Amino acid sequence: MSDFAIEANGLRKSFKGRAALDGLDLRVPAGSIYGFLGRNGAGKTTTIKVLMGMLRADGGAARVFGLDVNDPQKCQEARKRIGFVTEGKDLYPYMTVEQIIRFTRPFFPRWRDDLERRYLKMFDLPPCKKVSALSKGMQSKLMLLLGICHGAELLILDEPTDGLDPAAVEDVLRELVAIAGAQGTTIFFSSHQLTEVEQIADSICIIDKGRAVVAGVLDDLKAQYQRFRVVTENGLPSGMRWVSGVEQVRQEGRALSILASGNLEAVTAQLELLPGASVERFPVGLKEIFLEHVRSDENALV
Amino acid sequence: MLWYKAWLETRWRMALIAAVLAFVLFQVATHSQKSMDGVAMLTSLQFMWMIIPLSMAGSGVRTENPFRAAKGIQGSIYYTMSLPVSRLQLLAVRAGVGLAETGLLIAVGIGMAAAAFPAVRMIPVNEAASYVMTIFVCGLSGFGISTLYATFLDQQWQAMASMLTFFLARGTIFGLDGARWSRFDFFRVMGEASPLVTHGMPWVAMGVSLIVAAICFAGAVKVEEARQY
Repeated sequence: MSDFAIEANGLRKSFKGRAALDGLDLRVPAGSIYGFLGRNGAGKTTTIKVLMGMLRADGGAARVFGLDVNDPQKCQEARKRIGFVTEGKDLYPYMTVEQIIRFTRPFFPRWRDDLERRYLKMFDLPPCKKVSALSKGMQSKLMLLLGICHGAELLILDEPTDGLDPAAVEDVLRELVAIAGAQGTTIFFSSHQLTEVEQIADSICIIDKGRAVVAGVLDDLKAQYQRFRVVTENGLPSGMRWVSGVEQVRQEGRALSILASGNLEAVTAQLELLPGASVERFPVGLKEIFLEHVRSDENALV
Repeated sequence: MLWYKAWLETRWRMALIAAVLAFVLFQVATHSQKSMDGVAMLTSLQFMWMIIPLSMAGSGVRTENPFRAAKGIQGSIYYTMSLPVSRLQLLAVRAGVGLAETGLLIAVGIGMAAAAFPAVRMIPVNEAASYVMTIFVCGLSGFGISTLYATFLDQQWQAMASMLTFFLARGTIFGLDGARWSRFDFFRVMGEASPLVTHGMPWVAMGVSLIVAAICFAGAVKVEEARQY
């Protein structure tokens, strides 16, 4: 049995010649809460669709619970163990809440009646109301209920809190953490909301232009990344060669702002060698790590 | 449960076709001659019998949100695709429900005709049953064409395109040399060459219809399996 709920190696997918996935590598440890981050069009939803068997990859391999998702039969097997919340949260508008639960339940033998009752109450979902009459937020909650009550071993959530009010977002995040803790469910969720990811994820992957640019345990990444603020006498010497680990350098007059992703002691030593330098180090948050990797900064020297 | 879902999705279409069928029967009853016999009455509905299967077919999931799909919004299709069922199952269930509804509509149509026209009630039961079977089996060709179209056309175009294809292809193939090919003509045996007239089953035409339907279903399966959502 693999230690990873999801594994992807060199995954490729193009649409009309434009690469949506360009050799994506992904390892989602079993039992983790895994945040999948990226800008719009970075390839998040395409990855999820490949994992769910809705799209077929042009190249590379993807496995869920060790099952090859490019094989329709194996992907169907994997889907028995996956709870899925789609990006649009669209369900059957002609069914009532009760009907759609009754419709979904037989597909999943491990359906959790206790969770169903709990979430119906918690999300205040009216069983006799039609899906089309529910607000967008209520539809999101219903979809979460359907995903969670599967008794799934893996929850794949595409922007799960989209459309929810702040109180509901908190409820959902708390429940996701509880589910992962109590049942060992792996949670793989894509989001634009970095604060949410930082709040609950233990591992992350940042994807940009169809490639994973950063991946790892969130606390390790945060420890690994540091921002240096340096004031020098004469600015930077021309043609300066940076030690490895320096990701971004910005200069405003005699002040330098440097983001490093490792090799921190060597970076510090190099900065302290600058004439008259005063060096300060600061921890960085997920937002800075994210922006560093997905945003091109025209003012940056490195 | 997929059957239940397919029924919920198609019941209004079925009700609409039933209403059209009732309207056509009412028109025939109002405008036909009092002396019209039962056989002439039933066979005059030849086009209607073929429009039923052409209208009741649907693909596995593409027609789930026809109007939204036309705008590029796939909607609940993604939820359906996340269920642990194969695309073939989705297609088969939708086809099964469509066929059951087609059979029911034909039976309801014959029943309404019998209620409205006393002459229809004079037709022997075995001949009426042969006619119903002929309509159903020969209608499978239309159902197959429409199922194939449903895998890549939006619902609003699917019925129109399949009707055009069916009647143009049939007119072209069997219209060139009517006498030579007439025994293969699976539309003709719903009307002027029906078992009610010939007093024998049109096995050849029924066989041709089954072959056309099988080819179209096989094509629909191929398209559905290759489709990316």
